[in-house]
Amino acid sequence: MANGTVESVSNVIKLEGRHDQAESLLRVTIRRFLRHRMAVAGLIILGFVLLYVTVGALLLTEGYANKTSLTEKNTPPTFAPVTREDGSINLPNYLGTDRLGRDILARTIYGGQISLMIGISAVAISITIGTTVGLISGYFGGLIDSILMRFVEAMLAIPSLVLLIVIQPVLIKNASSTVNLFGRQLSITVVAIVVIIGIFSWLGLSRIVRSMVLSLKEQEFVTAARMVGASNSRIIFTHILPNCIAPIVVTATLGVGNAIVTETALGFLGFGVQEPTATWGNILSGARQFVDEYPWIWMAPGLLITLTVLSINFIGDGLRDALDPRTQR
Amino acid sequence: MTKYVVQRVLQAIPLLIIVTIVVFTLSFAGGNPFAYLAQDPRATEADRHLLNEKYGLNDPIPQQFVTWLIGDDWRLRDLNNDGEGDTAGERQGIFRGDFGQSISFRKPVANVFAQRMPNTLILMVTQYVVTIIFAVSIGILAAIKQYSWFDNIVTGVSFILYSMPVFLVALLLVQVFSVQCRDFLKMLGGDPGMCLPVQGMYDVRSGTREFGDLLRHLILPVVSLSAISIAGHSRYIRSTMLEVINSDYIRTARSKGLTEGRITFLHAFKNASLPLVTIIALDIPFLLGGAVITETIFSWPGMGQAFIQSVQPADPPLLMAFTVMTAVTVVFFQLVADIAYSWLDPRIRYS
Repeated sequence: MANGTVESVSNVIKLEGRHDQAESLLRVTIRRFLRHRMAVAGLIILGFVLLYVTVGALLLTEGYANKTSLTEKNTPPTFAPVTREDGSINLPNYLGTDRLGRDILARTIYGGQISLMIGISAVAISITIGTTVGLISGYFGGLIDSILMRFVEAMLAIPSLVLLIVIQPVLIKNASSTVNLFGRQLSITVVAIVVIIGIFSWLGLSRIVRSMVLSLKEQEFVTAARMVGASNSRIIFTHILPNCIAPIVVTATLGVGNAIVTETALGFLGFGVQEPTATWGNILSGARQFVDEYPWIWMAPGLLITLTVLSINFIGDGLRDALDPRTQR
Repeated sequence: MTKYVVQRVLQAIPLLIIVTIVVFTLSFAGGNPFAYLAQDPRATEADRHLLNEKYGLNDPIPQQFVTWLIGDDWRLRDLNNDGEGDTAGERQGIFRGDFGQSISFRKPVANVFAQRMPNTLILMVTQYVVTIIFAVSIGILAAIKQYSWFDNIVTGVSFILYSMPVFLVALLLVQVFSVQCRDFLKMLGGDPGMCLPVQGMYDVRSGTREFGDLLRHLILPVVSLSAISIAGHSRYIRSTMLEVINSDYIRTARSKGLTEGRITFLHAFKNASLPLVTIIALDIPFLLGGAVITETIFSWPGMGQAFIQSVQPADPPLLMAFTVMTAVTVVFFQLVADIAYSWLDPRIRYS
């Protein structure tokens, strides 16, 4: 017993010196990540996508992205300037126009900003909920754990796309109202989609975090912390949570890709963000009715979605390898 | 073993209860299915009341839940709104296989499903068989020839496919094998009818239902669904195969001088197929629900398409039946997978 105490105390002492160790862990992770060729390629591709949606926005205005034209509906890509009905000369539609004559190049730029924003914000919500539920469930156990985990299992039994489609009318009641975000006037449905993707994609993470907490809470450093009188919340947040960071970071990264795909799937089916606010998903909805016509409507957003998700998957893979203490490089 | 099975079945009961509560709660998301009639001048307030009454939507919510589960054929319902029961209830509840009347299809939900389930099964079972055959062979080949050019190409292609949304794969296939093909044949003066169809299950113009025609209509939806699943599943089979191949008993088999074919199939794949059983059991329930997106793109008259049609305007009986059916089969097959796994691998017994 006495021996055990000494060991636990020495663990506590080791924990005190954790800060410079954590820093070097970060450095080790970065070094390992940069050695992962695919992950670096992913970073570069993602960088290009980000440049596309930011630099593009400097060149074309959002008003231009939402400008409809009756004479230029569903026109294929052109490289010659277009003369409009009122005699004014317009930019060529390098990527063609959609069913309302809007320029697809400009829409993929502004839509990309929204799609990426939806991906990141939805993951922020789902990571918060998933981690909290996993920590509570795993740490306290008992009845709370049973109730939470049965609920998670029940929700997992329903395919996620079905769940999202069924729930979306609740959040998209006032589809015509707008909200001001980042200085842009956006459809309120952007917020709705973020919320529904966020609150339904934490289920898997909560199970991962729970199982990690179950094994972590039996370890000596937790016993030691409890012995020196640390409160539950201190044990959870300063001792257990930092040890769960690796799977959380990986899940979060891959989650952004999943959320973007989910948004585009909902948009494609017509249950996504309402126009005129563009997203990669609702640009694609124009391809639903005419699957074998106007391929330029889905090609550009489709390529951008694939590149983004591919690069995120590469980065996630690289992070998984870099953060895994079992891989020695 | 028996104790484990009983324990596992008992665990599924609270889960199913939660599933029914979740599904029932979700059904209110679409709002009142007759709300749109408020704008219709031909429909009076009394008509709407009668419709709501007919579908039991005026009842208190707990009562609606009970009716949905076990029916209302033991009590009188008040259809003429005079405060007294006058008509015997006809619902039998989902426990007795009655899913109620679909509002948008104007017939019992069970009939809608009976009509569409075969179509969905044709698509999904074909798709799944194709997936498993290709995934297993590609996965095994990639594992025994690890880091060869074949393995590298497979890895690259699966990464790309895995990052593509299913509708994008479908649209690409339509573009290449239908649109471009038609243009190409027209240019050559050939018959554009040789290209693959993209709509429905049969050629509507001919009005006949031939097997060959069905096969032609199946190709594009099946390929778009399988392509992505093959990418995912073959990676999984490759990694389980690699784990087995690098284990001691394979080295032993090799040092005994067994042929590579014998080692691969008799020793390695047999052990690697264990997790595959679980994967298949867990995939089966999702075959019943059809593929919402693919069925929409290819106008396939299946379950997924019926589901999409039941969202707007809301058709709660159909929505609930669809969701509860998928969820219950998921729970059931999870049970099957767990039991099969513990039976196949005696080392695993969950407490």
